[in-house]
Order: sequence, then C-alpha cells, then structure tokens
Amino acid sequence: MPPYLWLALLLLAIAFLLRVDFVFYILYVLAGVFLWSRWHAARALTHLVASRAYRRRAFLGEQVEVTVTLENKSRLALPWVQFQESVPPELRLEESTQHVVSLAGRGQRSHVYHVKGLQRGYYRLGPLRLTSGDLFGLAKSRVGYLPSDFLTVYPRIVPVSRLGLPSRLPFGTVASQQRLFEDTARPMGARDFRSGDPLRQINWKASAHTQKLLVRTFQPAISLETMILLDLHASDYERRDRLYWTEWAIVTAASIATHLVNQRQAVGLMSNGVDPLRIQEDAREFDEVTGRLLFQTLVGESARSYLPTPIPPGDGRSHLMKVLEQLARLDTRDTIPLSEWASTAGVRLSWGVTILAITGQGDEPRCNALHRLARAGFNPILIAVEPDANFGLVRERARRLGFRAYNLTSRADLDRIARPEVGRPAGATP
Amino acid sequence: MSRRRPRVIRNKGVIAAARVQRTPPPGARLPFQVDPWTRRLVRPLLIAGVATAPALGMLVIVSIAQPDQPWLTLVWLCFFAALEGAYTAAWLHHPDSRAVDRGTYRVAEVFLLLVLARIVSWVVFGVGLPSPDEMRVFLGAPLSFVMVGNFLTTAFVTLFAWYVAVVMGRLFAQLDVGVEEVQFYTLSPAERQAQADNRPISTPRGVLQTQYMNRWIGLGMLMVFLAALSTFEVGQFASVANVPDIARLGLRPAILFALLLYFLGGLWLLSHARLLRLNAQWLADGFGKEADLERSWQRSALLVVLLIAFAAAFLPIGSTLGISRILQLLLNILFYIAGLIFAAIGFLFASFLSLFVRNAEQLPPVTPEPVPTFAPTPVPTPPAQTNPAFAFVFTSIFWAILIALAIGALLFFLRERGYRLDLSRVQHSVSALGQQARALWRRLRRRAKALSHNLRERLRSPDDAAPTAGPPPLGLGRRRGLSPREQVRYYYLAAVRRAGQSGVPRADNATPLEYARELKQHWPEAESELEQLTDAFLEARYSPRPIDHPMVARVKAEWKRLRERLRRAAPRP
Repeated sequence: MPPYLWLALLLLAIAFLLRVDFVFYILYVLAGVFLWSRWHAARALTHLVASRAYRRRAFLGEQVEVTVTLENKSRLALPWVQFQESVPPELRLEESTQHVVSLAGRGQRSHVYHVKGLQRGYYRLGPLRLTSGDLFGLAKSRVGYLPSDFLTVYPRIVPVSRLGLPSRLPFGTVASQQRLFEDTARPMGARDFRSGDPLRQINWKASAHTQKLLVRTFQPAISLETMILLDLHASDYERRDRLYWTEWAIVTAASIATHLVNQRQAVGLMSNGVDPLRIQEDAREFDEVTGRLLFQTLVGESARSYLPTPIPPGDGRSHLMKVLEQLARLDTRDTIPLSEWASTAGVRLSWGVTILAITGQGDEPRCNALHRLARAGFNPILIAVEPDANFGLVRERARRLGFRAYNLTSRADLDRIARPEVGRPAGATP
Repeated sequence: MSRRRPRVIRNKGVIAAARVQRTPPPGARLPFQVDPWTRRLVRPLLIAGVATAPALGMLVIVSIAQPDQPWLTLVWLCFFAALEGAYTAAWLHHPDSRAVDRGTYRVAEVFLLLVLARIVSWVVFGVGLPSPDEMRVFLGAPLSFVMVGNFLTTAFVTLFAWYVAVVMGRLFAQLDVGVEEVQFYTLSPAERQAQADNRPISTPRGVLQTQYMNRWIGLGMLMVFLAALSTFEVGQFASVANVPDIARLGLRPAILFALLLYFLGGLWLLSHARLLRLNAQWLADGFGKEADLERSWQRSALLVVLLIAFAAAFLPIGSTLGISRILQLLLNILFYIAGLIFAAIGFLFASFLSLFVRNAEQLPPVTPEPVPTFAPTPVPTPPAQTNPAFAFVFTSIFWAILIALAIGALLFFLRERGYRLDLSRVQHSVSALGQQARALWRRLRRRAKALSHNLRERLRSPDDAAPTAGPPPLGLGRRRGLSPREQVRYYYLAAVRRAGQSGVPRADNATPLEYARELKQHWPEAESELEQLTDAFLEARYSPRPIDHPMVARVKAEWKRLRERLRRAAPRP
C-alpha cells in the first residue's frame, strides 16, 4: 500500500479517536489531490495533439527542418510533457530531439530539429513518444505515440554532360527535331498549309475562321519517349565492388531521368531490383543506426515478388519525383538477369521507344537481349557502368546488332563531381 | 664542477597524441536549465514554513498551559532558525563546501542558535536585557543563566524547527541535480564517452522521496496530535479521571494556521520532490529542459493545492457527515466486542483463581501486620559554604569559556560562509567613523556655543533682571534618569522657579513652609497642591525613608496642576 494511503487511513483513525473535526478537512484535501492526480494524469494526453511538419523529400546532402508541434486542446494546463522523437543517429544533426515542456491551457509549443540525408533511401522519422503525468507522483505516467513519418532522400543527380555522354546521343532524335512519328491523338496546335501536307490534317474550322488554310500539328509522341531499364540483379555485377557500381548505376539512371525531364521529354523506369516498400507495412524493418528501410525477404518468398512497379514514360516534375523516389528505395538482390528480363520488359511499351539499359557489363547475353528489343522496333542503348578494358569489342558487337553501347565507368569523372560529405555510397570499397 | 642541465620531460609524442585523440572537440551541450529562484527562494521558504508549523503547534500547547506569556511571538524565531537550517543544508551540500567540517559547523550553528534563543527569551519574557543586579546573579551562579524554564522551552522549540528544516533541506539538496551531474550529462555524447570515468554516482532519489514522504507523514501525526491536545481544557486534566470526559474547545486560529501550513505546504513540497526526481531522470536520459518549466510547475502545483483546499472548505466536516457517524458506530461496536472479550477472559481467570481459594473463609483470620512507622526524614544539612575565591575563579572560567565559545562559533560560522574579518578594513572604518564623530562633535559644540551666547544676550534684557531660583528644565529622558528622591526635589524646585517667574520669588532666608504660606496668600485656589508638594519636598529632603515611584507620580501630578494654575495666573505680556 502506498504511504499516501497510509497517511489517509491514519488520519482517519486519529480523527475518530481524538475527535478532531478539522482532520476531516485535511483528509478531504489529501483525497482531492489524490483523485485530481489520477484524473488529470489519465486525461492529460487525450487532449494533446502532436504533429510533425517537414518536407517529405530531400536531395542528397540537403538539410531538412522538422518541426514537432504539441498543442494542448484542453483548458487545463499540462505541467509537463516529455517528448522523445526517435531519429536515427546517422540522420540527425547534433541537436537534441527529446525535450520536456509545459503547455498552458489551449497552448502550443514547437520544437525544431534538422536531419540530413547522407545516403539515398527511405527513412523513418519517429515515432514520437509522449509522456505526461501528475505533479505529485501519485499516479502512473501515461505514454502516447505519434506514428512515424517517412523521408525520402533522392539519389545523387549529376549533370549529364559531366557523365561523359555525347551531347546528341543517345537522344539523337531529340536534337534532330524530326517529326516522323506524330501521334494524331494528341494535337499540339496549327500552322500554315504547305504543299504536300495531307488533306486529312487540314483544320477546316480554323481555316474558315482565319480565311486561310491551316493544318493541325501533333506531338511527336513515340520517338521522344525513353524507358530506363535499370539492371539491379546482383549477379550481373562483379562481387568485389558490387555495392559501389550498383549505386553508380542508380546515380546514372537518376541523372539521365532528370536530364530528360528537363528537356521536356517523357521518361519511365523499370528495374529488376527490389523495392522494400512493397513489403507489408507491419513487416517493414528500419536500420537502427541509419534509419533506412531495409529489405528482408520473408521466409518462403522469393525476391522476385518485390520487383518495383514499372513507371510508364511521362513528363513533368511530379513524374520525375515519382521516378526519383523509386530510385531512392531500390535495392540489389538476385532476381532476374537482364538477359531474361529485358524481353519481357518491353511488352507494354509503345513501338519506337528508346530503351536505355543500364547494367554492369555488355556481355553477349545482354547484347543479344537488346538486339531482340531492336528487332522488336525499339531503340535500345546499352550503358555499362563497370570498367571494361575491352569495351571496344562490346561497342563493335552492339553496332553489329543494331544499337549503341557506352561505357560509363567514369570514376575519375565522379571524383571531379562536387559531392556532399560522403565521398561514395556506403559499403563501397576504394 | 660540472653543471648538468635539468632534465625536462616534454609532453609530446605518443602520450600527447593519445591525449589529443581522447579529447574530442567540444560539441553542442544539452540545453538543460534549472530555475534559480526556485532553489534560492521558494524552496527554502517552503521548507522553513513546513518546519515551523510543528513548532507553532508546540508553542500553542505551551501558551495554553501558560496563557500569560507571549509564547506565540517565538514563531518568528523558529521560522528564522528553520530558514537558516534550510539554507545551510543546501549550502553544505554544494561541492564548494565539501572541505567544511560539518560536525563542527553544526555545533557552532546550534550554539549560536542557543545564544540567540537566550537573547530572544530575555526580550520576550522579561523587561528587556538583564539589569546589572541580574547580571551579578548570573556571574555568581552561571547555571541560573540557562536553567530558566522559558529559555529551555524556547531553545527546544527553536532547535526542533531548525532540526526539521535541516533534515528536509538535506533531503531536497540530495534530490536536486548536482553541479557535477549537470556538468557531465549536458556534454555532447562524444565528450561524455571520453569522460566516462567522471560519470557521477547516481543518487537513489526514489528512496529519498519515500524518506520525505515518511517524515512528512510522521510529523503530520504529531501535528494532528498537537491539534487534538490543544482542544482539551487543560485545567481539567487534574480533576477528571476519564480523558474523553474532559471538555473540548474549538481549534485555535494558530493551530489551524499551523495545520494548514504544514499539510498544504507539505503537499507543495511533495510536488517539488517529484519535480526534482524527474529532473534527474530527464538529465540522465538527455532530455532538454527550459527554466520556465520549473516555474510553471510551481504555479500549477500551488494552484491545484489551493483550489482543492478551497473546495474542501465547503464540504461537511466530521460529525456532520453521516458516514463518520456510521464509522464511529462501528468503532464503538468494535470496542464493545473487545470489552466483552476482555471481560470474559477476566471472568475465566478469576474463576480459575477461585479454585485455589475456595475455603479461604475457614482459615484463621490473618492478623494485620502493624503499619510501619515512618521515621522523620532528617533535615538536610545546609551545604558547606564554598570558598568565595574558588567560586569566583570557577565562574570566571565558565564565563570566559562561554564567551570565547560564542565568539569562536560566530567567527567560524561566518568564516566558512566566506565572510572574513579584515582587520585593516575594520581599522579603517573605525578611524573614519571616529573622524566623522569628532567632526560632528565640533559642529555641535560650535552650535551650542552660539546658542548659549544668544541666550545670554537675551537674558541681559532689563525685564529679566532678577534671576529666578530653581533647576534648569530637564528633558523627559534625563528626568527619568534621576532617582525618585531627586525627582521630587526637581518638581519642587521647578515649582519654585515657576512661582518666581510669576512674581512671587522665594527669599533666601525663607524656609519651605514660610514660602508655602506666602504662595498660598497669592494663590489660595492652589492651596492643596502647594501643601502636598511642600510636604513631599520636606520628606524627600530631610527624611531617611525611601521614596517610591507611586509617590513620585503623585508629586508629578500635583506639580503639573500647580504649573497650570501658575501659568493661567501669570500676567500675559
């Protein structure tokens, strides 16, 4: 029995034995304090609203300001609220994310801390643990939680010109402005009639209105679409520097996608890696040190079940964000080799789409797979990211098979690129 | 003779490198603030208040037993002692005070409090500081200095309040986060790891909080007991056999105040203890905290306690509550059952004993033994007269030691607190004060000379050619300094002077009675005053009988009436 109750019982006994009526008043006060403590501690957190405000996406090395706001909806003050935001040590800066504050009735307090993404990934912020209690220690402290939120750190984006790609390639059709493949379903505008224009394209209403012949123009839909095939099948990369080169492949994909969207072209993404976000929500695990979402296959399931959903070609900043978010989450596993996967990847693509296959090396099976895509009417381009001393043979083989091949192993270029604090992706060996 | 260069070991190389590596760069410190006002003002006052409440309860009991003495005045002394104890407990707990010999310091503290209690008891229960006659008695019999009931009670109550404050103050000082803890736990994680050897030893604050609770409850029982005791009619204790039959009085305002102060203040202190315990937990767990949290905590706790106390004032109390009657009935039933069981046991025991004394009436009557006569107690022989020289030496040594102890305790008390006696500064201050006093004296003297010169010039006027006899007018303070006999003479001579100024001067050869007759002829309406004043003067001047204060008061009244009559009869200029 707690000593407080002993006091109450003893006082009661003395009140009866000694017949001191005023002791009843003391008893009332003690009982009142006891009951108030119990009641207030129980309802303290029910009127507390917590929220977390921040930008959900960040570029590599960018600082993100996170504001945790606590609002007391009750008229009664909260003398103390202890909040503890779980932020992985590698993500947060040297700021404390746990504080104790007092909240006045209908009051509000905010606490700001900063996180910095040093590696691409999908990170968890929180949960926020809230603890409050009474003033006298007569009631147990109550605990509440604000669920976790997530932060996506994009992969590094490098200007394409610095990647060593020729300015007109692999997007030669973009620079030539040839409109051989116009999509009649997507009218773009009108222009004066020229000799040789088909009569079906004359815009009769506009011509009648302007008293001169005008023809419809259409968006060049097919020739400007690009699909990035990112090969993240683990066995397609050399074991020694696998982590480093797969990260480099992702950087290359993100940089090319950004470049294409900046050029107002449509770009899509397909990968044979794994997306940890496809794991069921309750089975997701985050690294305790880095806070990054980890990929762990469930027992009896193959990694093939977690292939990311293909993102069809599209343009605009929002579409680019979608592509970059997926690139931020992708992980390397043994799923399907590119030589097997490439043919199935082009099933839903339109005819004539440029397929940009980013993989480790340009060996024969992969070149044959791309050759099949070329024969199917696509415009495949091979980008090999691992160093290959005999890449001239690969390039020659690709030329014979009807596509182009580039070796983008520019470690030296990469070193010249201005980078944030971390020089290379985690796990890479020098 | 070769002179060798001293060997210098430079701090470089591996050791220096290791030291550099061990010392990480200073990082951001944890923002953990504490409120200085709570520690320096609110909590000591609160502890002192709670510690004074039981002492006040005791003083109320003593004042009931001795209603003619102002016992409740001592509450301020108790509060002062408790406040001093609370501050000293916090100060002794500070790391800077670790070098202080605590036992000696406490002894000095108690000694000074006893001296203070003796002085206060003089002031409160006597007519002020002791007279020279009393001082002579104290010098001759040192024990009479301390063996006084008022002083002993004052000392006990004061030291009780002080002790409670010291115990509570020590508890709260240990509950509070220490300087080392704040210093260590606010370091950045890297620095904390590097200084892992300096991690402070954790204090079992849960145990301390329980200790506070137990002591508060224990003293609360004492408070309730004192409150109950204060409601009894103390005068009936000797005449009434059954305690519940004693007439009961209501609670006195002082004990009511003490109860409220103790329990409400104790609840507020309980919230302090909770805050301090959480503080330490937050600090160790790396929670940032601002100082305003402690202030708002104090406000909230005080508000809650006061509001609940206010609301409780409207609830029915004691016998008016139905449940209390039911509980009392249950208690009475329990007592009745216990009484029945006791009676049954007694009956069985008596029955068992009766088996051994069944035929007792057939035994021959027992002849009672003669009652022993008490021999008269011998008259105690008076103690042998002690040697006066030995007594003088003994008392001198006693007082010398006592005074030296008092001075030593005061100096020790102040020196450990950082107050040091700078003799040069004292000399400088004394010399500066002396110079100022001398300058003031010179100015006053010049002014007095100028005034006397002016007065003489005025007195040389032809209207006041005949000087009048009589004493110069004295101030009230100086007049009170005269003995009763001198005061009577003063009033008579003042009346003579006033009569001379009014036109009836006394001749040099006139006796007091002749002069009185002459005055009666001029002011027959003041005949009785003149007679009484003259008789009193003759008695004071020529009689060896002592003159008491009531007589002086009568003479003074007569003189005042005579002065008024002479003033009214005097010709207006």
